[in-house]
Amino acid sequence: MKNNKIEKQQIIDNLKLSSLTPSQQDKIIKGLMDNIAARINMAVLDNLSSDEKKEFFKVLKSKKKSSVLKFLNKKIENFSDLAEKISVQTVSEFKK
Amino acid sequence: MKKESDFSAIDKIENSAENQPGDDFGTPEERESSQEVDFDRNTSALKELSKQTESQSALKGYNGPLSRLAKTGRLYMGSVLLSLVAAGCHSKVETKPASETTNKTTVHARQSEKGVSAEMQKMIKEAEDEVARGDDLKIEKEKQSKEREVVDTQPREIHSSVLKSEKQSKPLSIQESVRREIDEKMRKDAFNIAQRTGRDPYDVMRELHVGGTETENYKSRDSKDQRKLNYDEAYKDYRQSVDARVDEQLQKFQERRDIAESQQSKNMEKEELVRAREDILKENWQKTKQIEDETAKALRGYLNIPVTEFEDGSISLNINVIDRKTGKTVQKEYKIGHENFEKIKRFIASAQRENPGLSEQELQQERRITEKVLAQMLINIGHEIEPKKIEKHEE
Repeated sequence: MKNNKIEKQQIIDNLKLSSLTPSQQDKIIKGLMDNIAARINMAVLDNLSSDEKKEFFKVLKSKKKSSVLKFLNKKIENFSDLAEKISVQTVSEFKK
Repeated sequence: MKKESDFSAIDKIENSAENQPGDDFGTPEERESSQEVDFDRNTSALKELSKQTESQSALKGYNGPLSRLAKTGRLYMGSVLLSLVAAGCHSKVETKPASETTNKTTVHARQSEKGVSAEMQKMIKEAEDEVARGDDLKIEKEKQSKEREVVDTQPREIHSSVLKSEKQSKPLSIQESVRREIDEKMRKDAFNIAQRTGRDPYDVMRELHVGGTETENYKSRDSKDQRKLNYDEAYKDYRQSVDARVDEQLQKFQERRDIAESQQSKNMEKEELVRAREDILKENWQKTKQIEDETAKALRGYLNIPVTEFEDGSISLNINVIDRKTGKTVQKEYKIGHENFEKIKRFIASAQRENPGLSEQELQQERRITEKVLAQMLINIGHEIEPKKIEKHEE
């Protein structure tokens, strides 16, 4: 929770959202998170074969985050790096 | 006035500050307006970003709204997303695509990314560990707890029949299996105690507080005792009905055996009777044979013995025969009608005629046969004449 607060404040400062109300800040940050999530998901799908995609959707159906992450880490090399790369790119596009 | 006005101006500012606490960014209206502008700007930037994301999605053929893709992503990236946004914010490559600038991120950004990376790696590691470990740890802890409970109290048991009521519609987890195994052992022990002490097993279980849900169920299951009593009663009734049926079957079997024995005895009597009858028949046959022999002897002289011929063609002749009643040899007169006498004569003539070329010995043998047949014929067709009548006839 504490980390989240710090991170959120960092985001607010960095994106210069401090002038906004907390509700507005939340809306903007949530929108950014949605975009990052969507883009990561697209990248994941790009990196999986059709069989792996089927398997991925099966794992998704189980709704076990741990299983999904384990699967992605196994199938996609440097998955965490990929996710970070997409985040940086998305935020930079937002800041343009 | 001027002073006053200066002071009043300062007062005004102070009053204004008091009335509008928080910052020096203008009046609420101004700030509100500024907020709106900032929010609108950020919202449009976000809209633009979303548009780009959706167009990328469409290009790649991932049909569906952004919210759907985002929702799926959030499923597995949820708690990391905020960190990712923060990492993106700290990067100094805001104005260039990430693909070109990844290597140019500042130390600060890299550190932040490392933080995110570490967090993600930690999550993944935890996920892997969790999957690998499964519930082993929890199971082990629970097992140890159960075992301690067994040692602390007394061995306990819930009757195995209770387990039968637990429908195992889906496969049991290891944890559940272990729990049941321990419960089963405890139930058995409780029953052993109950058997040794002659007490009700459910009472023993209640006293021992046999662990697990089952025990709780048992505590509130007084009806179980009643059910057991009902079962005992039902079993008793069943045993009685079985015994009754066995007795009935035994009785029937005994009856059948008696009948069979009686039948056997009757059969033996019958056999005795048959044998006796056979003896009688044999005896009779022997007597008849003797009669025939005697008759034949008498007839041997048929051709020589005088035969009284009557006008109607019938004849009478005296033959020594054995009386069937007395068994003594008596002379009896037989009367043979004309037709029968003619038959006899034809028979004798035929016998003589058909054997013209026979030797004396053969003729005698043939004659004896003829006599025998003739004797039988006489007995069969002849009428025994009562002695008185004969006497009268002779007179």
